[in-house]
Amino acid sequence: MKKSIGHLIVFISILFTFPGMAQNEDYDAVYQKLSKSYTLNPDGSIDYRLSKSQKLQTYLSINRLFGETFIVFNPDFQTLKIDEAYTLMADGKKVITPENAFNKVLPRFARKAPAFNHLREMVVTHTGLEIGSIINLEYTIQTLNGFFPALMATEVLAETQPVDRLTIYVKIPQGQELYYHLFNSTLKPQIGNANGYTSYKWEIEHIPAISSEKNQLDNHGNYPTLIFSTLDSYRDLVVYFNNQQAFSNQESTLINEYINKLNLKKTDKSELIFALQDEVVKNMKLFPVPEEYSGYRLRTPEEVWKSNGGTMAEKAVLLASMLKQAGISAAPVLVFDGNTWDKNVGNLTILEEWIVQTKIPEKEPIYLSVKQINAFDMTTLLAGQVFMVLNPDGSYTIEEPQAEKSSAMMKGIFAIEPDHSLSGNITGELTGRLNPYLALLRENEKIRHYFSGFSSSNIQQSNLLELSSQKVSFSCQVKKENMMKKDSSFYFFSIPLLKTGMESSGIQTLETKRITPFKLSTPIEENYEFTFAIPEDLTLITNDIDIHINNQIGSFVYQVKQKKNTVLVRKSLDIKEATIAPEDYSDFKSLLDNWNINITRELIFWIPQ
Amino acid sequence: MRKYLFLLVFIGSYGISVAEDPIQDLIKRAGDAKTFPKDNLLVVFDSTISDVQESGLTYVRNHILYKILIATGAKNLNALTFGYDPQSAYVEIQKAAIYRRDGKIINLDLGGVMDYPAPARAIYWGAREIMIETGRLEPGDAVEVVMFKKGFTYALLQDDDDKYIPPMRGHFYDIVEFYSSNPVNLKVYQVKVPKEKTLQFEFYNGEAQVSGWIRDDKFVYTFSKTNMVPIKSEHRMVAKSDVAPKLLISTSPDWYAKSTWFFQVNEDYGSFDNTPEIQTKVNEILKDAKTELDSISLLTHWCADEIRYSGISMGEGEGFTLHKGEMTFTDRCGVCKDKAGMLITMLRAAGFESYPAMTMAGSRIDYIPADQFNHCVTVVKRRDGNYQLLDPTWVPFLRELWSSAEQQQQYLMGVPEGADLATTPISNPANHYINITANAELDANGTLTGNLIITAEGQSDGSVRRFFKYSNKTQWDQNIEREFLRIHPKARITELEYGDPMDYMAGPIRIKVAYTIPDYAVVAGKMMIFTPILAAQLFKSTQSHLYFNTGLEKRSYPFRDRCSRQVEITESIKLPDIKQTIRIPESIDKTGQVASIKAGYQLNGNELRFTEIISLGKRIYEPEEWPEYKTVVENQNRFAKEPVIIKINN
Repeated sequence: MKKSIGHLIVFISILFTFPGMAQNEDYDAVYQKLSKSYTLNPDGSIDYRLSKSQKLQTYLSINRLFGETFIVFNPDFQTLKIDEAYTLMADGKKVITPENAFNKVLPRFARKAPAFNHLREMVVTHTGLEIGSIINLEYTIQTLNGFFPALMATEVLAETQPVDRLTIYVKIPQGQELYYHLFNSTLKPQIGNANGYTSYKWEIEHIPAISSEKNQLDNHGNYPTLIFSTLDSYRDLVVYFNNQQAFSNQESTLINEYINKLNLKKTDKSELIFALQDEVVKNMKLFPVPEEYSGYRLRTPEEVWKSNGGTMAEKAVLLASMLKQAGISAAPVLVFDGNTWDKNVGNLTILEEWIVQTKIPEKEPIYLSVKQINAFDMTTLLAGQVFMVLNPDGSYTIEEPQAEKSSAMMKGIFAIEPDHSLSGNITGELTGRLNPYLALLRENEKIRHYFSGFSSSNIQQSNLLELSSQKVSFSCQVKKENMMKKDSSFYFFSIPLLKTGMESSGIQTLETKRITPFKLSTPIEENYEFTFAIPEDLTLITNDIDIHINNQIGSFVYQVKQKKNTVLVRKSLDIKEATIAPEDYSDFKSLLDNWNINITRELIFWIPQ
Repeated sequence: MRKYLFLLVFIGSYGISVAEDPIQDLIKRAGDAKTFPKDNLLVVFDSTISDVQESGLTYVRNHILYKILIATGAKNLNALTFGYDPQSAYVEIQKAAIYRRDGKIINLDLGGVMDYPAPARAIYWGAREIMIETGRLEPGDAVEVVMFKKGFTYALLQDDDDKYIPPMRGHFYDIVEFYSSNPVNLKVYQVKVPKEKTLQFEFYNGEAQVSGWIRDDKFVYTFSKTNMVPIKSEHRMVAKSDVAPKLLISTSPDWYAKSTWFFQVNEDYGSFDNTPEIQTKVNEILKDAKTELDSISLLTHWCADEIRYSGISMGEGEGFTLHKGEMTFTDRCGVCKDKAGMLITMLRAAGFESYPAMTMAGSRIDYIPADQFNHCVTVVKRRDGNYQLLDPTWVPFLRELWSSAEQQQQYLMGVPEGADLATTPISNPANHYINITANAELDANGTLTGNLIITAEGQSDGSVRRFFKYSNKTQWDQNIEREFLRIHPKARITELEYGDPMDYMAGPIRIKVAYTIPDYAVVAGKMMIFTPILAAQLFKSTQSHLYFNTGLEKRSYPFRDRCSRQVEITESIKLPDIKQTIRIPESIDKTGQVASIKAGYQLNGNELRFTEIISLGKRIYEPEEWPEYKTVVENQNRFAKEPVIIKINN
């Protein structure tokens, strides 16, 4: 981890010391000025004001990226005021944005969500756009006192396009405290007092664009990010939730009736847990409404149940309440972005997800998603994030699951018959992030679905030798007809792998250049060893291969040896770190490229004619 | 079921008070998840009555009953939404009721109906929706809705019901789908038309029970169909409306009437009036134009590139009237009709005779003159007296004036003399060529080193230019690199030239690449196994036909590609000293009526040459043409899968 942080600092220094890495004119647009100001007024209301001057440099920017500005707000608590909107065309002509270019619509995420039908999105259509034109827009959102539990925000100090000058300005009444943390930067705010307010100003010039590279750290975690709040901890925010009816009034006859019916069918507690998760995830709508637009207010479980849909937060609270009503301990869990977490800055705008903690008797707690039927425990899927468990007694517990090294191991002894069918036995184990613990807990037989090269019907018998949240080990009997792809007198045999390993990352190719750290979900180790007894008519032509690569990032091994009619195959990959620094990227690419090329993925046999 | 037909019409006509018992009966007998094992939701009946007034204003009452089959159906029906344009239509939910499986009936409070601006992207004309929440439903429950609507799809006047009268005053048309994504036990559509109006109709792609009689002072026509099941989709089939049962109905006498109306409505509004600013811009654009076609091309591409697609409302008349040139020129944005209108204005300012035309992108227009349009384009009269189609919406950064992705598409010109419905011609595949020529050397270690040039024209030029159009300059090289990486993870580009890909009018796109790929061939002792990179489908994303699923043996419906296309590929590879060729994939030479392929390998000494020439003749194909098309795609895919295998000396 220390090494990763070191790499990060190096990367950020490079990025901000040499802003000319890519020229501004190579981008679609440039923000000449971008200013965001937050004012907490003495009456508790909050003014948010955004001001931008953005020069458009390509047709892509005009047609697809910046032709409209979308501003979502909650009219019940917020007022939107457009202060200024015009375009300066390339020749300097000023085109005032006309009245008909301001249109309020329902935000897409609130579609078919009756409880959120009052939300609005102002679409500002920028007119007079052409290459070289400059969009100028200023607007203010005024928020009534009490809508938000505090003044709080998160600002990444970079955009997808270069910024000439960025200003973040926060004003609070004198005498009140502002708690803040700027990650990945040493910049200090200018602090002043005037007119009864204390102001904090962060200003940066010549900010390079956020890279579009894939597999970067979550939420631009490698860029300077400012969080601030008028709360010095999460204590008051937890109280804010606990005081809501959604938390204090969870009894529901309707839900009880449903659970009682289900209880009759599901006598086993784990079955009941998963049946309730199925109901909430599969049979109820998910309204993807960001909670900031509802002021982090949740409807009660009964209201959510009756409407047959809810936000992620509402579904999590509902599922936790259903589990509790079924006599199973459970708690809703808030998941915060681990890259911008600071326990001394109470900030809900880094809230990423809501999940549910529950417990099967005699087992460790498990963490369920309300967005999907999660095969993996959420502590492994969301490793690196910060979990806040809302305990039934009103307190909260912080957990910080880490991305521990995960492994996949499989050994197989196979016989390829004269008819080229394959039979044999495999054993193996999966740990950490690669262990589909919850899927297997639901159904042991699911292990059959985690092999590439074999379909579930090819697994004649499967046994779980051990199943825990840390590890699953298994043995299977395999039989497969037509195991090999025939092409004239050649036969191609794909080497079986475990699907939850590197195969699941979707990294088949890697570009040559890299400027940002590359993020994997976990450090990973995979080991495969297979023995094949082959019939006499088959000649292995991809024989005597011995590839060994060892570098800063890890190692890759691929060996094929034939001894008489027995073929031994060994394939392994070891990636030591989850975050690959740009200077180590070529080593990483070397390992992955060799992992992915055909010669290490298949055996080729031949029957000479 | 038939006995309910009259009941449903009755219910639709006279309201709801007598409907409860028969509806319970219908729900009970409609079927369940066992009867419809593949479906979530069942439409027990869907009954519509349209009452046409003398002015063309139509009162529509729709009565529908859904039955929930499984939980997914309940989830999907947790809220009922209906869209409308408040400038020209009025919508009201008159009844919404839930029939619980246990027999309990819950009449939903209509005070809870929500009326709000609809979600929107790209077109902001003030469309709205109404919604009523049904909440939690269970399998076996049913939902009944009675709707009342009046109006049209776009606006004309503002007083009382006047704003709901269609712009072709006195005329009525409707397009009624007799298909659904859910099974429908019974669908009834009834239209009442004043006796003085002549009604033309045709039922397409199937049969319906039809009746017509006189009631009071109106002709009453009723169309019904029972036991409708969802149409089984075929990959890349034409639009469902082209093949599924539908009713077209219109009082308009013919397309000429529609054509002259469309011409006149825009002339009356002054959509194409010139201004000094527009004239100055036209003069500036045309300063270097030398020929008639130069001028047309320059103006078309200016409108295509400089007027972005984003629709803001002009208020009264929005939807069928083209914005004035002055408005679009100032806004520098509009939808298809506004871009077309800007081009007409500019062409007229340059001395051309030019008019709008309407078309239907994505599906067929059938001959009954009902408004089956979703797109607007431009026509210009050439010196030889012929009209030429221009589409400023579909040709941004494309070297065409009329997008050949719209070939075999119906259109109607809005010209003063009137016009009949016409169809755009097939575009020769040679107009959309992709040529790739590669020269490479494979060494004994399996490293492939070479260079290639790809050029393309027409729609294919547009496909290749996508590597640049949709990303900024910092990503262009990577976009090309990704194509090579898709062929092999170790591919490395050593030289890359593409000029200025945004200057599309300078000439067909041309990309030159030099590359090296270590371990490209599998080397096993003296044996080498490899597939030439062009046979392996480098730049596959530029050939949309390669994404067809050829597993389908036969097709029931016509299918469509993006455009006609010609592909010519030549790859020469210098090989190490060959001892023996173990396997060279078999050549193919199939010339068909609509699709052809000639491809294969030649080995001259140590030089292996792969050539592939394919031709795909059009955009929309008939089902019986599928075997020809499939042969082409399958064989291209075969060459991608079958490697060359050789033995080398030393």
